[in-house]
Amino acid sequence: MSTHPIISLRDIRFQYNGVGKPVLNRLSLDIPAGSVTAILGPNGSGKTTLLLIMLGMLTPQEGDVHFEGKPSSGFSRSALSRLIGLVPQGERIAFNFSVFEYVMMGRAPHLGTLSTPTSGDEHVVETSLKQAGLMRLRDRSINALSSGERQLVTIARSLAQQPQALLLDEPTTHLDLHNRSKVLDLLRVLNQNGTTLVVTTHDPNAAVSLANYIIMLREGRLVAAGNARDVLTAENLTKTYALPIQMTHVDGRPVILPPG
Amino acid sequence: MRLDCSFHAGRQYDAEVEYGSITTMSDTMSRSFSTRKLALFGLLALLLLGISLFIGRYPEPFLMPPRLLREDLLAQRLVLYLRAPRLIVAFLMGMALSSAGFVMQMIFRNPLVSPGFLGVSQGAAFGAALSILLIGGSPLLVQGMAGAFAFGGMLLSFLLARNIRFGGWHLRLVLAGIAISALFSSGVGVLKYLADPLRELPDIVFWMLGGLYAITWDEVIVVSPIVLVGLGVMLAMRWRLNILTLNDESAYSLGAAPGRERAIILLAAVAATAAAIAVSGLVSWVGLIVPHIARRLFGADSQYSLPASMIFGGMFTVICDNIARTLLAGEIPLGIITSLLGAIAFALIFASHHAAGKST
Repeated sequence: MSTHPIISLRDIRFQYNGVGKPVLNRLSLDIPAGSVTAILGPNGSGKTTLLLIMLGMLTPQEGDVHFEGKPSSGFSRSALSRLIGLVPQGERIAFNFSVFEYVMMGRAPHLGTLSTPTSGDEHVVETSLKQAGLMRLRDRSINALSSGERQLVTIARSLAQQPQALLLDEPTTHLDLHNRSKVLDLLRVLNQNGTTLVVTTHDPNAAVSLANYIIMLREGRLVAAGNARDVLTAENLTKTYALPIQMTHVDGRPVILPPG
Repeated sequence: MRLDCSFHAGRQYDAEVEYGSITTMSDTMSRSFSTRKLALFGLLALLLLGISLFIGRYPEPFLMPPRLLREDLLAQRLVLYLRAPRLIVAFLMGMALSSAGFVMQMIFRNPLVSPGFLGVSQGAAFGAALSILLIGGSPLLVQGMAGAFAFGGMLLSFLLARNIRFGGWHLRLVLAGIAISALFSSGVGVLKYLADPLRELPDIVFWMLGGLYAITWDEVIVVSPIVLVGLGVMLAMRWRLNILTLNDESAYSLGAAPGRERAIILLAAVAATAAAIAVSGLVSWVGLIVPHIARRLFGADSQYSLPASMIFGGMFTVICDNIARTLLAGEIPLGIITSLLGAIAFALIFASHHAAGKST
């Protein structure tokens, strides 16, 4: 395994279209290989922007982005997509692809621009569907699924993609408790199999149950970053959300209590 | 000029139209079944082309007995110099329009987009009318001007889209296409107003109704290279096209360069369309309706539904052209037949009991 962090940001400053207030300012962080990192922060704190920079899609005006110790410019599009995958938030799919067809799209990084999937790719897709418990939905139209099923299907697409690191934008938002726990279970399995996870979330309790590293953002700046045990304090959370937040423990697990 | 179709970073604001009523068909078929089905339709298309060589009004309306090919010199020449090139152009044109419509509907995520909408159709019409009015109505000139202005319309649409200061590129390009089409459409109106109502106006109107009456081997030689290259690019990227219908973030995370790849496919589609329209005039509805039929029979995955759309488009246009040149003693403009049959097909497909679908 590489000794370099899988994603490394140094002194990032980012503005959309290069003008206006910086969305991210003087931000540095490392994502160690094999870790689960949760990015916490209120709406508009720059979480999604940070994720898109880690994806290599947005280029910061200042600062360096390294993947496995190499600058982002050293990667071809397909090489980078075999390294880092994305589970976007609430993707709108305009056509009635079947679940199978949609999960097959995860194979794109392993296929050339002009190629079509092989039986080997079909096999990977079947395995991914089984792993996500989605075989019974294999031939359903993706637009006919519930939002919980949709989220699992999008994660299954990433299973078929087989990236080293997976970025997830609010993976548990809008899910009921049952689907939320299904998604979290699947992510745990994914991490146990060696995939590095970076998760943005509004749900600090999901972050607590999943992550070993926590990054807290407020207005594009780091409030705190580090081991979950050290960073996750009522004081840091209160600073991040500008709200009096309390913490308690239930069965040894930290539980975060927002006011009201 | 750099054709860049990527969003500005962040969210997009495209014209959102849901494909709610079209069902996925994959539950009834596997990928190998789709391949076999495609091959079957390919054979049917070849059969149709073969039979169509014997359809016409010589020596009598409708079917010509095949033995005439051995006995009758006129029949030989008719088949070789008139029907054969005309059938080839009809089939190529149908393939070009329907596949261009297909990829544009996918890239713009809009089921109502047709291949000429980026200023291409109205640009071609303006070029043809200008030629008829100012330079002269010889077929080669009219075709050249139509082709040049079709491309001009597309370039203007892209240029305008780059300078619109709001929205994602889906919305900007659609708006620019509408504006440029309106501009050329009003230009055609002015030219019609200025045209001599006895000599020039009928020519302009007839051109705009579409038809393949003037096709010879010359047109085949001029048109087919452009159309074939365009079709080839679209076919080569037929699976990739699925990825390009996703949000920019998703397409990027799957290794695509969404802006550049969409621009390449669009350019291929517009080139094929412009070349076809230049010799055929405006033939509407093929590029709008055929992709829907292909998706209904082959599902959303463009690896299969795009080639299906090409084959169906070719067959549909050949059938319409057979009717156009056979039904009456005088030629019926092709655009009238495609619109009529296209609209009927549309009603049958989308108002049918089955169309309610099992998508839920």
